[in-house]
Amino acid sequence: MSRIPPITLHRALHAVWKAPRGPGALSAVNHSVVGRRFIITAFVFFAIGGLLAMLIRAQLARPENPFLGADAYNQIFTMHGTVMMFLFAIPLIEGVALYLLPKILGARDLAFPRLSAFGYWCYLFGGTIILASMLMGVAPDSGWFMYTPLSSSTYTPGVNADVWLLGVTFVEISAICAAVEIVVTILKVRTAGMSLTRMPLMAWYLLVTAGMMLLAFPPLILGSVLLELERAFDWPFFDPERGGASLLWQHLFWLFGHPEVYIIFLPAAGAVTTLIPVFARTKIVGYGWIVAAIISLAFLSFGLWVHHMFTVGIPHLALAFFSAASMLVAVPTAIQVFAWTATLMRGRPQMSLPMLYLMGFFSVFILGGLTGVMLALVPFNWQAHDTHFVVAHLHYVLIGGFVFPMLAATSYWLPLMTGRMPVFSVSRSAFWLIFLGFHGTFLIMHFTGLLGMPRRVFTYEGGLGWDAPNLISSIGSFVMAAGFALFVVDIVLQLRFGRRFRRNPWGGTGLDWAMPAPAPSYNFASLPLVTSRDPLEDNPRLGADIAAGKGYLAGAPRAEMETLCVDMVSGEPDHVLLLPKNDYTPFLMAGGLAVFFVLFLFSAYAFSLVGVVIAAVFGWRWLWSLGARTDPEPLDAGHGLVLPVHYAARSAPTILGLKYFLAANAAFFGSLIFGYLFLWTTAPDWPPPDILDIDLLRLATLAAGLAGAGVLARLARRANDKGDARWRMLALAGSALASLLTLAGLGALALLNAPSPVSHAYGAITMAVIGYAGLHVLLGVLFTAYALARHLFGYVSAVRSADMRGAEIWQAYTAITALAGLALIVLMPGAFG
Amino acid sequence: MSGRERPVRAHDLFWLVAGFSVWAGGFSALYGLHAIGCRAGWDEMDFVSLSVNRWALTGVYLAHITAGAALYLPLRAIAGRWQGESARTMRQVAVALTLAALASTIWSGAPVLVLEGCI
Repeated sequence: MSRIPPITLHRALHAVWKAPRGPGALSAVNHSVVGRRFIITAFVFFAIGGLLAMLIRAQLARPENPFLGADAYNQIFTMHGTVMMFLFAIPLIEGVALYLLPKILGARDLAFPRLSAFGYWCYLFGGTIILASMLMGVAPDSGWFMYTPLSSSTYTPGVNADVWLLGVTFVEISAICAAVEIVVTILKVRTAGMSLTRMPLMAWYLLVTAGMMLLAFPPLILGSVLLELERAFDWPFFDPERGGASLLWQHLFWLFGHPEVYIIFLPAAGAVTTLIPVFARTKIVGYGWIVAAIISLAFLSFGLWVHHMFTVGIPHLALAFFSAASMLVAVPTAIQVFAWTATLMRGRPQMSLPMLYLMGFFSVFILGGLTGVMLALVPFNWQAHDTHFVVAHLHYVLIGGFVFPMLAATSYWLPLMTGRMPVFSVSRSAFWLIFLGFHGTFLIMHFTGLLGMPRRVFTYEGGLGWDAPNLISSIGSFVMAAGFALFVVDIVLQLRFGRRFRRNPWGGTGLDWAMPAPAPSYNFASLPLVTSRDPLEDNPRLGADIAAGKGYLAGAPRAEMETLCVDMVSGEPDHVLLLPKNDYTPFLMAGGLAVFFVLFLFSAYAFSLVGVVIAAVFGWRWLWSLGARTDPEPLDAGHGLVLPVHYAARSAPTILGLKYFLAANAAFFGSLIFGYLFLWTTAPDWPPPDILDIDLLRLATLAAGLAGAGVLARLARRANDKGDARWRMLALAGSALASLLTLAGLGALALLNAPSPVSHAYGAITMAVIGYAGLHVLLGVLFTAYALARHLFGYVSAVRSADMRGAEIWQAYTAITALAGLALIVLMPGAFG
Repeated sequence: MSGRERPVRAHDLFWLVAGFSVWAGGFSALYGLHAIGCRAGWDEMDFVSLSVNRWALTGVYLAHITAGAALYLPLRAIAGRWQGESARTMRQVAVALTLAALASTIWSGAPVLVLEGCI
């Protein structure tokens, strides 16, 4: 047990963990820094989105208002939705998760700090591209959901839609990175003894949310890629005159779009679940039921997407499936509401500031949920579709289910960042302005919609009964905006005049309050042993014990950034994770991607590949910096615990991270297959005039190449496990060669046998499937070449096997998906032609 | 103790998603098969007084209900052997999710029993 004074431990740890200042800040990878950057940037975008909303309400305040023209209005309402959804809500969730997770899990940082930093730069650069377009007057103007054919080049010939497609895709890279980071961190990077069932419920919420992000974002990314291919190269995926289908876009968009609502809601609900027991002075009721409800909600939310498309002409039976699922999703939501209510009833609620926002959440979100059940009913939906009733509903759900809880969460956790308490009189006034302004804006908007006012119209005639409700909504929106402004004032006052405190001002029982405030760069001077869900209740002196180095990995005796990795379920420590120091690589790699996206936007397609090369070079450098050239000695973690270093542990986060990336990739591939089948079964002018012409021998050769590359990579890994360096090298080289030959075969198939991707959607989607396979085979060449290089430079051994296992997993994934893709494009014409 | 008790392991997390994976498979299969059947004209082919489309969809529906129900038996046996700190909560969550998924499969696919056709 350490006897070192806490201040000495603090100085030693801070010297290792501190974030650089000045230009060096670009290299910062610490989760607190990156999380704060996400949160602050998201709130800046929120302010911009709010200003756009005020312009919308100013325009609609009275009939035939000349304030904004149709073109400007289209850009403004599109940007309002885009900014709020893609640049505020999701990044705020990511920022909160990245900032909080290590603190509530008892860790010093995330599993992949550089990945989070890379994600932040992608978000910032992508968001800046979208925002810059508004300043140049070429902002997206087809609605935040970019429906085709309005967003196709025929009706949107400028770059407006390209800005959205490329900018949002760039930002979504960030979301996928954050999702992998969150899942792996929660499953592996926790403190000792924190089993899955001792985890704070917030971690369960974030785990499920991140899992949903991995599966929900790829359909949108695929849709954006396909639409950009159509706009840039005339591949007609969505053009009905050439065998495409506009509805394919709607399907891909809402496959993302509806789970997205729950991706936004669940972390906010996690905050509600965290805060209610604290302010009710009791424990949460129904821990297990809440976990079951979250997982149910996640699955069910993927069966609702067509309820955004009830009026497009889908057969009644299919509508009934989605209507039934839409009603069903209310059940797990209600279970959570009952658990929260029961907790409040069991405890002694205190109406502190965060609690005030939670009460706002209850009243607003439940109303939004009820109108959601109304809209789940097909006959009502047909009447209310595309009216202001839907606008009112979605704002009740999103502001009620996300903004109010996040304001509560901000009030609750901001003192952890600042070390100061809020100035209460100002913050209470801010709440009431937001709450009353919100209802003033959106309650009456339900009636505006029921009176027949459609969405997305820049003006309306007087005398239709819409004048007064619109004016009231506009006045309400300005009151709400004043409330948000006051909220910002409150934060400034808190930073300047807020009362200082040392620890745990709210009486929380989680590890996030077992550290001094503001939270230090390393979070915990030593990592505690957790024996219940409420460690601070078990030991109110836990914070002092941690600071005194009485836990594991006390201080920084090796001058390394260390944290524990545990068994996924039991929370028993199984290795020590050595974290990377500050590094410019994530910034430079994201910069390379920015070059690609910007040049592509300006139609410099060939030159844009320079950006890809830059990103690939820094990606290689990033990977190369992992691991070591010798087998590491186990480390003393304290209290008699000796653990291996992560790159000598079989359950290290790296391979788990790769698997979750591939899960997202599989969702992308599944969406592509869905698109192929959708076009075959639904689009006009199918079967196509020209069919893929491939002989059996060539097909067998391609299949053998794919399977061979996979099998050889597996043999290489097995040889490595046995310490057989010669066979390891030979099998790896064989796998690389097989991939190279397969790549050539796929290239020949695309160039010589596949029908033109321009003349019919069949050719386009077939080429997309071949392209997917080809890209993965190319990356397989790089993966195996990388593993070969690591072998040659001594980074690989039977103990240090991550490179070999990575290559094996990639080649296996490539073989399975490419073979499935080839089977589809060869067999479908025979089955349905 | 029977001697077969064991702690909850990582692969047991499968039981948290198994039931709803069956639900998701059934939901996707019904939606996809309906589109394929309509495209292939199965709704206009009759077999024993019902359309081929209705037979196919009902078959898929019942198969998924059977699969969802069948999960419960091995889950009871396996979860019954879990022991240790996480066992009780994990068992509760796994059983609740499996049964909730079965109810969801019955509810969301039920329209195949009452609605017809491709209109």
